[in-house]
Amino acid sequence: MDAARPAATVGADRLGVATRTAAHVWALAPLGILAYVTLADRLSANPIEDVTRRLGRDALLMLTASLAVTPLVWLVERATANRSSRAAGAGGHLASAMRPVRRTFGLYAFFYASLHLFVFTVVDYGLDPVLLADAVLKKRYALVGLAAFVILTALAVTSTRGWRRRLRTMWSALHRLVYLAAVLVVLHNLWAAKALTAGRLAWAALIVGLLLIRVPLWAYDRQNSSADTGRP
Amino acid sequence: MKPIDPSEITPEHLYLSRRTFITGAAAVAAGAVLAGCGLGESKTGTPGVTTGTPGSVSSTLDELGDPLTSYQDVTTYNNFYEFTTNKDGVATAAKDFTFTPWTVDVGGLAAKPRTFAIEELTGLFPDEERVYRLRCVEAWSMVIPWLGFPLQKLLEMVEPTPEAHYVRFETLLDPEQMPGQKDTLSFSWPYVEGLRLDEAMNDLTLLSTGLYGKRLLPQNGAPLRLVVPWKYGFKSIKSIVRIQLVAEQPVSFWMAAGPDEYGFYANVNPNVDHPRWSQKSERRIGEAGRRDTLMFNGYEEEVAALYAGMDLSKDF
Repeated sequence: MDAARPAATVGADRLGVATRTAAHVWALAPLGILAYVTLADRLSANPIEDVTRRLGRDALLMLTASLAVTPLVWLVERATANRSSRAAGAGGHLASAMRPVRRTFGLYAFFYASLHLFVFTVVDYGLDPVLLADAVLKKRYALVGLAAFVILTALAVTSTRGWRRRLRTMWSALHRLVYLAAVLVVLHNLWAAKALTAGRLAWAALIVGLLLIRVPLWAYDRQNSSADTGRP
Repeated sequence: MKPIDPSEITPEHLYLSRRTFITGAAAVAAGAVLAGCGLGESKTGTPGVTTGTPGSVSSTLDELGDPLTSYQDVTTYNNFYEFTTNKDGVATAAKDFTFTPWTVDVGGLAAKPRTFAIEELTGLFPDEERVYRLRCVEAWSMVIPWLGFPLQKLLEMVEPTPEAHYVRFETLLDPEQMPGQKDTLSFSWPYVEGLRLDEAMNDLTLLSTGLYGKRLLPQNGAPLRLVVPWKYGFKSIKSIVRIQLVAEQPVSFWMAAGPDEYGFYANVNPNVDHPRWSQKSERRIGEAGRRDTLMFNGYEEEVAALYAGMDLSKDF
């Protein structure tokens, strides 16, 4: 510990480490569960399909978590902004601790999506070009899934500090493509199913809600920008 | 059906090793390569679900020489939306389903309509064993030794009138016992299916009361279900309470849920894709690779004549 630093900064660092650790533990849990059900032979009678479905759901879960970070940070900041300076300070620390996990969850979404695609193309279809072309090229659920994966790949590659510096203002524009990826993933999940069940529709509504909530938050910030130094 | 050449029979150790491969492949895919942690054991089934043991069967292969799907898999991997949309959850969700007493109302355009108790049906029509392939519209398949009797025998007993051109089947409507029927937002209940009369009279079309030498379990459609092996699995309606001879083509459960996606005929056909996914290949449950899907699920010889002159991409 650096004795010269004020106590509040040390506390904020600890909060940051704790938040990041919790995010990693939570994001790795589905992998642990998958390893357990696989090794304990608890997959369904159609194990490859079961693993594909689980990995897809996990990728969707991580993307949802990533999209939830910005609205939550906004809430924490606004809820504490007009209180005492102490509350605002604590809110600021919490918001700063939360902000980086958006990237963490985004990278985990890419990780689970990669495994999902790997199992589908290699384990399930054995990279058979004829069967894969037939299963993918004409099928809208596969095409939108693939498009979402291309976006997630680009975002994962450019998620480093170096790329952020190199791309300058382009970086923010590029990373707004995550909203498009989210819409594509929702369509992928709805189109891949035999029927629109309540569960899939509820998840679609959650993601659409997380996208739409940004509009009033953005409008609120614009209106209050003179009295406010918070980030957009 | 063609006799089976002994050389076509897959030895059991090869069949089991496929299962081993699946478990291994899934583990690798999950990035969970932990040497010696249970890989190589054959599947013992979904824990917590007891489906008992199979009875005796007269054949362990279908007429193409492919082995039966295990009793465990047949009784724990089911599509039965009345209980849950989760295929490996149906056995548990349906385990307390009560189906005694059970009657089947057979009538409509029939000279001698009649209501049968399920015991009457099994008494009137002795069990026949039929080993059929079941091909799900979701592109997986099984080989199942059914017990039952040809639908034809039942229909002949009630004497269809000349106006009868189709047969309409209905599943039990009982949302208390079948919680899936409470989802009225996505689906309209009860489950309905239909066949053209000549399809219903085909010798392959079976009313099943059992499988693997035993009576049906709830998850497989107890106590009475249809089996139409050349059509996608959803045509084989479960837990039937009503069979009616009708003049017009019935609107089935899946036709109502997605008219552009599920047709009345639903014949297994590798050349006509589902609008959203391919039907060219399938996975046989218990195997790792994919198989080519066969025209009419391999029953072309028996049923192709029923569809002579029809455009099967239009009448899908």
